Amino acid sequence: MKIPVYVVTGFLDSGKTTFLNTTLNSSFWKTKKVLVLQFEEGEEAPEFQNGTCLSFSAGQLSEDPSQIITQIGAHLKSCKFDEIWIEWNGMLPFSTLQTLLLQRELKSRCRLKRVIHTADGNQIETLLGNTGPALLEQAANSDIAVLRSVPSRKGARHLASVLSKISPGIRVYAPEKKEYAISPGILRGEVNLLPLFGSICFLLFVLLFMKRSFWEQGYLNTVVNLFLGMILQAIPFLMIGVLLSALIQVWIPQTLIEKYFPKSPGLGLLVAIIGGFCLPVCDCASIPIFKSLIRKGIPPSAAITFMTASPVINPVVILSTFYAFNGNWSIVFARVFLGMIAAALIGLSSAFWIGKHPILSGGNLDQMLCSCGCYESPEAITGFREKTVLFLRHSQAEFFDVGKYLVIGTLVAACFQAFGNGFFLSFGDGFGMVLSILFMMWIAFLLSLCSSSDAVVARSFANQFPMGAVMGFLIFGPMMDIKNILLLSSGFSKRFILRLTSAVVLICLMVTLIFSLSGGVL
Amino acid sequence: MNSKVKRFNPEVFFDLIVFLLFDGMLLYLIFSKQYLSYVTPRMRPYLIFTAVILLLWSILSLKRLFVPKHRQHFAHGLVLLIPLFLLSMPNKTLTSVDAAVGNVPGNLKLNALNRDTLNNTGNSGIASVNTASSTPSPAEPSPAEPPQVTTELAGIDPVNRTITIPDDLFGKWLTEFYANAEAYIGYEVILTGSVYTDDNLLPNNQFMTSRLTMSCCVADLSPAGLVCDYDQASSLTPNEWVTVRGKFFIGETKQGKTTFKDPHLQVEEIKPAKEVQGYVFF
Repeated sequence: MKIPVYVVTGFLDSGKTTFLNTTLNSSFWKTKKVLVLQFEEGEEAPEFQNGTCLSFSAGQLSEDPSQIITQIGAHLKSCKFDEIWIEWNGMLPFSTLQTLLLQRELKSRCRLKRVIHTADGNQIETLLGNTGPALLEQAANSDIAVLRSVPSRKGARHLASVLSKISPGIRVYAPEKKEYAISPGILRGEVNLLPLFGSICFLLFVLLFMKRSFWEQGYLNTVVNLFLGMILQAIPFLMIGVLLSALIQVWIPQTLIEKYFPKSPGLGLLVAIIGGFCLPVCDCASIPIFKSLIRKGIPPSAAITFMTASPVINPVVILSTFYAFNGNWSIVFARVFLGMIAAALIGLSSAFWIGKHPILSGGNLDQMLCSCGCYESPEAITGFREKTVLFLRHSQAEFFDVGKYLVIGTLVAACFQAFGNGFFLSFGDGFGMVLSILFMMWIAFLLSLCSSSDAVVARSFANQFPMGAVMGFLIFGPMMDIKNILLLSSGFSKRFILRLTSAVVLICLMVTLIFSLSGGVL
Repeated sequence: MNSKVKRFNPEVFFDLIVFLLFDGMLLYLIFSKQYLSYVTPRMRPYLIFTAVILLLWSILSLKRLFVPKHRQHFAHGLVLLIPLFLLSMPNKTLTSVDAAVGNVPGNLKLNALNRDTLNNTGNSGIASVNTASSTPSPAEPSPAEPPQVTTELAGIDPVNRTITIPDDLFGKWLTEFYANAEAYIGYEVILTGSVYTDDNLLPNNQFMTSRLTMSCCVADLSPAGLVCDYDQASSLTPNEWVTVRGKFFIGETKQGKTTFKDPHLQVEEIKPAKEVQGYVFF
């Protein structure tokens, strides 16, 4: 049986040694024979009763790692240890440790079991943001985080959410200071349910595949068809979105944007609107691009204008609206014009509602967060080949990140479409204008149609609702719906999403109301 | 120390399998044309593009297949596995029966998509369907010499003045009828579709021989077809598949408070028919 290896990582002063001392001196570990390997210079060695401690310096590790391996190997041969604990320096890459443990001499004897990240709750965010890739990589490889000096419960929740962005599924503990340790139960971790889950799914798959009649039930068949139709439509557009987003992130240096992006808000808006016009994508693509624009430091007002304008005013949408409304240019013009006005107003108004809080949910860390596992800043990588690989990995990670929200959003929208549509249409024109517009906007929100196909559905409402309300549907839908809110939550704070949604609702309502009161289109 | 140790990475392997499976499914849908049950032919290049990117991602995954990684994540694969799972189930394409129970957006309306075109030829612009007062002026009175039939669509027999609409040209013929209605007055038209009736939209003596049309994806399916004038229209079973033979003329259809002039058939014969698979794309 291989000896389990537990690794304690964390920046200098995070309390790794204290943590080891408290843990290894607790009653459970007193009975275990432990080998502690300390890769930390100038630290005091942990003191515990049952076992041995070996210390190595970073210099030794880089100059003569084979000697370290031999030394550890000799210890493992000479004595039977129950566990190996490693205290790993916060500035050393985690991959070096993995490489070390996978050398032939050690691979056969021990196996990496759990990685525990220790940190000071007051400093962890700053440190993760400022100390380079090594610490981030350590945190990303951690199964458990143990935090000390966490200011409050709310602070603990916040840190837990930041850490789970870096390492999804990480378990975060904030024990009292005097008990800065973990219980043995935590280390055992959860039972891995994946094989069980996988085989159940496979069985279900076979059973359902055999049972044809199950799939042919009216509503289920309709929901599945609607879901697949929308998802097959959305996935290619999402793909374009994440590729463009990764392109911006990897290939466009921040300095270029700082130098050339117009400083005046007016010009910024103009660039955003022109950009939106030129990009033939729907809302699935504009949200990942929006995220990378914000990360690159484009002023939020311009980026928001871009995100809200591009799904309404781009050429594909113009064409589909033109066909759906039978070549009625006045409706096409009204949609594009009102879309531009609303997008510009939403962008401009952001100065008032955006506030000082960071709008990305990763806070200040977000610049470097990417679940692709590459923690170097894209600008630190120079070669064309490396950049291309990074570009593809970024896009892949982003696709999965945003994709999960797309799948959920589409599923919800498919249900609304299957069950709710007859209900929506049963409403006549008994509403006043404001209510009609709000009602159509609400329908657009629930149906979450792709902006390149919503015109046809809007057309089917045109017989029962005034044109102003249909316009509300056409402008508001692409900017904000269930799917978009879910897509946004892949990277933005709840606070920001809530404020953005309110601004979009109010401004779209206002713009369409003014439009219909002033006569609308004939 | 060997700095390039290798260790099988299950997460990357899982990603690779998911990419390849989904890629395979996309290629299957594209080449078997089954994607047309969900989206329009316009999406084909986009789907091919997606398949290419997935292939690139798989190649990239190959490179990392033996790079060790401690934390393993698998849940993200569901993004592609859920659609893959549903795509491999025996789904039925939607029919106007599904449409009739209120399942599909747009189903309660006659497809007005083409209806206005006729008006449009004789009118300055489209009447907003909601403006009750703007009853469109009748189409241009038939000129002394009817316009020449110029279409090259299959199914027309100019000598006997009959058109037998092939199922795969249903949409194209419909567009042609609306664009050059005058040219076809008096032609005998034979077409197959399902019976569409709606008490609110069509009077008792009219029904529509319709097919489900898609303009973007299944979310916007709506029935479209030729309005047929038939005294016993109310005795027909809705959603039943029929082959209709009738004389082409320009008739009137009421929609809401607006009356439209559009192509009609005066029914001469109705026969039960086999269901036609697939949607109509414009």
